[in-house]
Order: sequence, then structure tokens, then C-alpha cells
Amino acid sequence: MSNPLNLISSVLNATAIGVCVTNESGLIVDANTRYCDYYGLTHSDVIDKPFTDHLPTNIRNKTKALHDEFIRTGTGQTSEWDVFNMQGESLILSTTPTLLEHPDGSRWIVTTVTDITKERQASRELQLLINNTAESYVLMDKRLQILSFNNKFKRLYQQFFNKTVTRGDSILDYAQPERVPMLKTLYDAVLAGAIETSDITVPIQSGQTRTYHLTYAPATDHSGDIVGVFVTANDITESKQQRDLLENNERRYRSLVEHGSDAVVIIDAEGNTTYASPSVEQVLGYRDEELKAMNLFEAMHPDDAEGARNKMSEVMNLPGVPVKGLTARIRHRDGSWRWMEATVTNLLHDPAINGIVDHFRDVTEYYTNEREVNLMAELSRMFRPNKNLNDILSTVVERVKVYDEFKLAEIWLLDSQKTTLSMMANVQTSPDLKTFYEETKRFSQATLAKGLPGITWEARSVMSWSVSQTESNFIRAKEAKKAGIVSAYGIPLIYQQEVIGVVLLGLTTSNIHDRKYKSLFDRISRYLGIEIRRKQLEIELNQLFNIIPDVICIASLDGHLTKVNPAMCRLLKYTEEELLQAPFKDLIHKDDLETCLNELAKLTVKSPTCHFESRFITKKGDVLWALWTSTLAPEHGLVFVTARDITDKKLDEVRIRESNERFERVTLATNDAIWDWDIRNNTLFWGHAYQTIFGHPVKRDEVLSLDAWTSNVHPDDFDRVLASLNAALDNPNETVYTSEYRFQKANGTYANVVDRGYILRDDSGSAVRIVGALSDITERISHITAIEHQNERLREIAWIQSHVVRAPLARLIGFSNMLISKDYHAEEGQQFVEHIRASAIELDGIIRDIAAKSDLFTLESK
Amino acid sequence: MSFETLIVDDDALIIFIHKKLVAKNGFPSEPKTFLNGQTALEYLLSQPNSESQYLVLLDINMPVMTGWELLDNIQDQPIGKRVKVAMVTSSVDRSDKVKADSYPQVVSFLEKPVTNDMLQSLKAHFVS
Repeated sequence: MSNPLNLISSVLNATAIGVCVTNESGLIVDANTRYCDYYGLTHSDVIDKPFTDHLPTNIRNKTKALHDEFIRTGTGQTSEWDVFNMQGESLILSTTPTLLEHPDGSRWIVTTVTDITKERQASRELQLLINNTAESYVLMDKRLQILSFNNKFKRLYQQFFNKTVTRGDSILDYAQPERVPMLKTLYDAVLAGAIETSDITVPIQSGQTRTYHLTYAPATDHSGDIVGVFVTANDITESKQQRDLLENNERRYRSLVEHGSDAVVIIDAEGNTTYASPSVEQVLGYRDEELKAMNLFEAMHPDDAEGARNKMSEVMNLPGVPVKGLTARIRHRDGSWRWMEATVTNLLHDPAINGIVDHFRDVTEYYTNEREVNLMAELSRMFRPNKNLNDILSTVVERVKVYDEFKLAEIWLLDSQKTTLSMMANVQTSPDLKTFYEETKRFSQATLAKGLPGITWEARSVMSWSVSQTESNFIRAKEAKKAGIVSAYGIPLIYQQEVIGVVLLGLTTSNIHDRKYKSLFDRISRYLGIEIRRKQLEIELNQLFNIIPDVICIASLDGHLTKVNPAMCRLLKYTEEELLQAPFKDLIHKDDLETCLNELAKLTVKSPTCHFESRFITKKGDVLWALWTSTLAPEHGLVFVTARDITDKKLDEVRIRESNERFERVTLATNDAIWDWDIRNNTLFWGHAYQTIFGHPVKRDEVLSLDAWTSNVHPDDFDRVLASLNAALDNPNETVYTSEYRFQKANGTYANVVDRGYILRDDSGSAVRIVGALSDITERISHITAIEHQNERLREIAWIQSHVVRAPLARLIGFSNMLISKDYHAEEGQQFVEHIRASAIELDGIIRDIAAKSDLFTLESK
Repeated sequence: MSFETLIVDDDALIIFIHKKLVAKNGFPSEPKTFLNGQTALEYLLSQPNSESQYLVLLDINMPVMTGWELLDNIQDQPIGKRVKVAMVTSSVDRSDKVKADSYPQVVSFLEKPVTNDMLQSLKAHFVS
């Protein structure tokens, strides 16, 4: 046989009960496997450790105190500890200590531990429920001693009687003395199996009172035996007030049911009307006996019948539940359809009613209004951007046509000259309508007062036509009749008090519904007029936006473009997508970016517009100039921007500036003194050469008057020069002034000058400005004199040379003449030939000499 | 009637040619020749009482005294009235011709060399 201790140890380890042995100081001496398992610990984890180590901190002190108490006194009770295992799961453990006297005299405690988590969970939830419920309860045994009560009861008792409820007290001790005999009787009855109730009003501290409804019921055990009394108390202070109110108002409610706008009928299972409130007559026009003879479902509009049937099956499936949302048209006694909104409750099961209660009221006006508002909203949505007007108008007439079974629906719009109405849209959904439009092709335009459209235009108010009218204002009456149209309305489309078009609606019934359609037509007249005009404006604006050569865009202040026009794309060579994606600063020349951003940042509500010039860069990298106008948009964070390409102008400016610079350089380089006399302002400008040539100081941009010139003209020349100038200026056909005179230099000497001026004239031919050049020709004159002098000398030289040449030549001729005359002696002849030869040699020498001298001869400069 | 012919030229060969031509054309006397105006003037001034007429073939440009200076010198002399001058020059300058017109003695303006025809027409001044 094995060791009995081992056996016990094995049993202890196998049991579902945890066992733990602790010494006087609370250290665990031994524990079985189950104990360790509860906490998810091993045997060695717990041995020789304080048992509180594996308990939650909040109960350590308490459990240690219990332990110490138990060691000391040997008495203790089963207690429940909320602990956590190593997995963090919450456990409720029931612990029961037993004192073990060790043979050595020390005291150990053997604690048995069971997991009661599951068991406790249910009762705890109940506890929570009971403690948190609005009801108070108290449970007593047969001797009326209190067994149990919830927190609410305890609190109330404390509140009302300033006493603490204690278990074991007699409930009768808590009652007001005068109520005790009554209560004894009551409890007896309850203990005998009765359920009793009573209301009690108690004062609360603030001087107000509260009323409690008390229920006294017998408490039974599992076997059904009565073991005590269970009392619940409900605070009915508020509900009592409400009930009182209800009772007080009952008459009024009844009155409302009988005479209010809500009609009430009760229908039995077969559909017969068993009750109708008097207000039904006001709503539908039928009298009580008429109603009782009719089936309301049969008076319902056929289109609404299916919806109603579905709603009714829902009602039948939900006995006692009021079902809302049944809306249907019911024929009024006068023949018109009225919209009814019903709340139906199936009370067939209620013996008092035994029927289906149908509360309904006339919502025709409300419903019509709602339908019209919805229609208008729907029509508004049709006017979306990016859709063309004709398509929109076609959709609009189709929708309006089916709104109330109109047979014919057309939209006519006035042209921009306001001379003609043209049919823009109609509906041809059926063959007879196709035929109608085929046959009335001739009538697609109307002038003022022509046809129903023209008449409506003229009248500026809704006009009607009926087949019964003898004098027809409806040009297409014959064809319309063929298509089954017997009445028609012309509705003017109004925008800012102006007729912009007409809507034509045709009906297959005669127009007895003027009143019915008044509000619809009114809405169409205003809303549709506005929508159409807005769309037209949008189209115009879009066209403008798209065709305008100037750049238009919308930029957000976060640096992106949100809308750009084609002109911008064309100018910058980007596509619209590219422009919308890139930050707009990428488009601006980097040197101008700061200016641009500063200008934009300056925009405020008070000064919402700015203008500035900047360069921007095209996709190809070209630099363009633009004049920007930015305006803060009403919408926060947006700027409307327009820009004009001023590149050409800018380049012109640059050209002009360069040209001016060239001109300025020319005036610096030239030997002519450039002058510019503004005649009207008498300002005289001298070019720099005035100083270099004449020595008169020229300050840059110095403004002089004509005196600066006249005072330097030689007195002897002055009258002549001035006369010449005036003659040129006074002749409107003369563009040039020229004069030669002497002009005094700064050093007092006179220079010979040629003065030439180009005269600028205004439209009337008056000289306004003259720009000229004063050339110093002093040198030229002396040069010419020198040349003339030289010529003279040359002439002399030439004469002398010819003279020298002629001398031997004359001899040659003389001797040859003598030879020819033969009037000489023979020996003389020989002599003549010798002379001729000598003269010819002399002549040759002379000519060579002249040629040599010519090479050396240069013109002397002076 | 008779007249004396004077040839004044600084070119000896021209004097030789002219002398030959004068002789050949039947002029009344052997011509007297001078190499400049000065010697010709001295000769003319040395004949104060002579009744004779003088035809002077006068070169313009000569050393010592030009033809013009000779003319100037005889202007106020009695001899001046009996002298007829044919200016003889190697090249004709218009201004010379104009200048020659201002001297009453100048009857002709000839370009060298003088020809028979020229001398014949000069002779006519004295025959008439």
C-alpha cells in the first residue's frame, strides 16, 4: 500500500478544489495543483511567498487582515475574492479558511478555494440590475423581517425617514404608526397569496412630495410555497401628473378626434366602415351614411391602390402598431382627387374596437406643394453645366408632361431681338403626338399676340384655351382635337419682369383646374424662367469666356488655377489640364514672381482689385508680357484674374528705348549739334555736340528756351535767319527748314553753320516741334577756299607748263614750215633739221619733267 | 609806206625762223631782233624823232623785261603812237588775250610759230 500521505496528496491535486496552507505570517507552506492553476502559477511560484503576492493590490491589505484575524481568533467566514489570473482574466474565488494546529504549536491555516466565477456572474448581473433599476424593492420573510433590499430602497428610506434599513428588522417598525394595522391586514392577505397595491405620497426634504405606487406580492420558493413578501415601489410622481393631464384633456382629445382635421374611420375585417368621425365629411365631403355604404379602397386613385394594399398588409401583420406613411389620393365627393395621409392601426384583436382604425388627413395642399417643390428642384438639376440648352429643355418638357398627365408640353423661347417666339422643345412620345407635330410644322414660330404662345407673351400671365371656345386663339386647335387635346395653357416664363418665353401644356380634359394649377404654373413661370435665363447667360458667358482673346482664369490663393479659358491655353501653349495641375507661380517669370505675389497679397475686401505687369513663360519657354488685373472673388480664397498680352507693346517700348539710346549715342558722336525745339512749350534741347562743337555747356536733360539759340546768331544774320525760320514754320506744307549763318561760339568767335530742321506739325498743320542739326561748316568753307586757291595755282601751273611745252613745239612747226616751203639753201636745210631734232629732244625732256612733277604734286590742305 | 619790223623773243631759233619769214614776205626792211623787252625798249626810245612806223612781233614771257612791261613802258612815250604790236606767244591764254586788248598798240595776237598768212595780214595794217 502506498503512503497514505501520498494518496491524500494525489487526491488533493486531483480535486476541483484549490487548497493552500499558510503559516502565521501568511507565507504559503504548500498548495495543491488546482490552487496554482487558478492563478496560472507553478508550485514553486507560490511556495514560501506571501499569499497576498498573487492577489490584486486592492485586496491585499484586506485579505492579510482577515488572515491575521483568523490566526489570532480562529474564527472566519467564507469570503469571495475578486482576483485575476496570469492571463488577466477576472475570477471570483470563494475561500473558506480552516485553522490547523501544528504539532509544534504554531498555527497554520488551510484555505480551500473554489472558482465560483460562473455561478456568481449571473447573480452579480442580477444584483447590478436590481441595484440600478428605477424600482425599489424589499423582501421579507413570513415574520415580516427584512431579508433583502436593493440600494434604491435603502436610499429612499434614508431620504424619507432618515433611517438605515437593517437586515432582520421588522418592516412594520419602518411604517408610520397609524398605517401599521392596515399594513398587518394587507401582509396577511399577501401571505395568503393576494397581490395588493397602494399609492403613497411622501414628503421630500425640499417641501415637495413624491408619489409611490407600492405592489405587495407573495414571494415563493422553487416549489411554489409562499416564503415571504416582496414589495416593490415605483415612483409615479411624473406619470401620475401625466395621467391627470390626460384625464383633464380627455374631452379635448375627443373633440379633436370628432371635429379636427384628422378624419377617423374604423373599418372592419371585411372593409366596411363601422365608424366615421364627423370630420370625415369635412375632408372628403361624404356624409356618415354615404361612408358606411362605401369602401374607401374603391374610392382610391388606381395608381395609389397598389401602394395602399402593400401598406395594409403591413398593418395586418403588426396588430396594435400604428403604421404611418400611407399616402394616397381619394376621390372627393366633388370628383376631384385629394391626397390623404393616413396612420392605420390594426385593432381587430381589441374587443373594444374590433376594427382597423384609419386616421387620415387631407394633405393635398401640402403634398401638392411638396410635389411642386420637388418638381422644381428636379427641373433645376436638369440645368447642369456642360449640357446644351436644347437637350435640357427637351428633358424639362418630358418631365413636366408626366407631372400631371399633360398631353402636350412645349417650350417656346423669345429670340434676342424680342420679336419672335420659337418652339425649342416638345414631347412626341406617342404616335398621335408625332402626327400632331407633323401636321403643325408650319407653326413653330409666333409673333406677339399670335396663337396661344403669342397671346401669353402679350398678356404676361397664364392664358388658356379650351375646345369649347368658339373663337379659337389656338392656331393648332384642329390638329390638337385630333390628338385628343381639349384644353391648353400658355404659361409665360418670366425673368426680371420680362417675358423670355412660354410653356404650353395641353390636357385631355377640359380646363376646369385653373385653381388646381395656379401654384404649379406660378412656379413654372418664375423658376423655369430664371433657370432658362441663367442657362442662357451661362452659355453667353461661356462663349465669352471661351472666345475672348484676353486671358481669364480663376486662381485660388493656395497657388493653383481652378479655371482657365482657351485664350490662356493658346497664349501659354499649355493644355487646360496642364494649367490646372501646375502651381501658377511656375508660369511667372522668376524675376517678377515676388511682385506678383506681393500684389496678390495686397488684395483685401476693401480694395479687391489690383493691376500689374509681369512676364510669364510659355510651355515652349518664350517670355511674354502681360498686364494683369486681379480681383478678389466673393468666394473666400479665390481670385478672378484677367490678363492681356502686351508683349508687342513691351517690345515696342524696348525698341523705342533702344532707338532713343541709339539716337542719344548718335547725338554724342555726331559733329552736328542736334537740337529739339518744342514750339508750344518753348523748350529747347541741345544734343551733346553743342558743347563739343560750339563750347556752350550742355547739361543732360537741361531745358532751355529758344533764346539760347537766338542770342548766339550773328546780329547781321539774325533778321534773315529768323525770317527764313518763320517762313518755313508758317507754311503748312513745309517740312524742312534750312539756313546758313554765323553762330557765336562760347569763346566769342563765330562759326559758319548750316542749320537744318525737320518740322513736326499737328493735324491742323501748325508746327508743334522742330528737330534739327546745326553743322559747323567753318572748316568746310576754308577748305573750299583752299581748293579754289589751289585750282588757281594749278591753272597757272598748267599755263606755264603749256607755255614751256609750246616753245620748242613752235620751233618745230616753224622749221618744218620752212622745210616744206623749200625756200632755203641746201646747207640751211641741214641746219633746220638739226634745229628740229634739238627742239624735239627739248620737248621730250620738258614732258618727262612735267610727268615727274605731277607725281609729286599733292593738294595742300590750306 | 615804209615801216621797221622788230622781232623781240628770248628764243634765238624763233627769232631766226621769224626773221626768215619776214624777209620772205616782202616786208620793207631787214627786221631788227632783240632777245628781251629791255633791249627792244631801249632801241625804240632811241628813235625819238623818227617818222618811221614800227611793227613789233612781241613775245610775252621773256627774261629781264616781259612783253607786257615793254608795252607799259611805251604807253606814255611818243614812240608809243607809232608802234603796232603783234603779240606772239607760244601758248594762248584767254586772260592774256583780254589783257592785250587794253593796249591800243596791240593789233594782233598770234601763236608761235608765225606763218606767211599771219604776216600778210599784219602787213595790211601798214599798207592801208
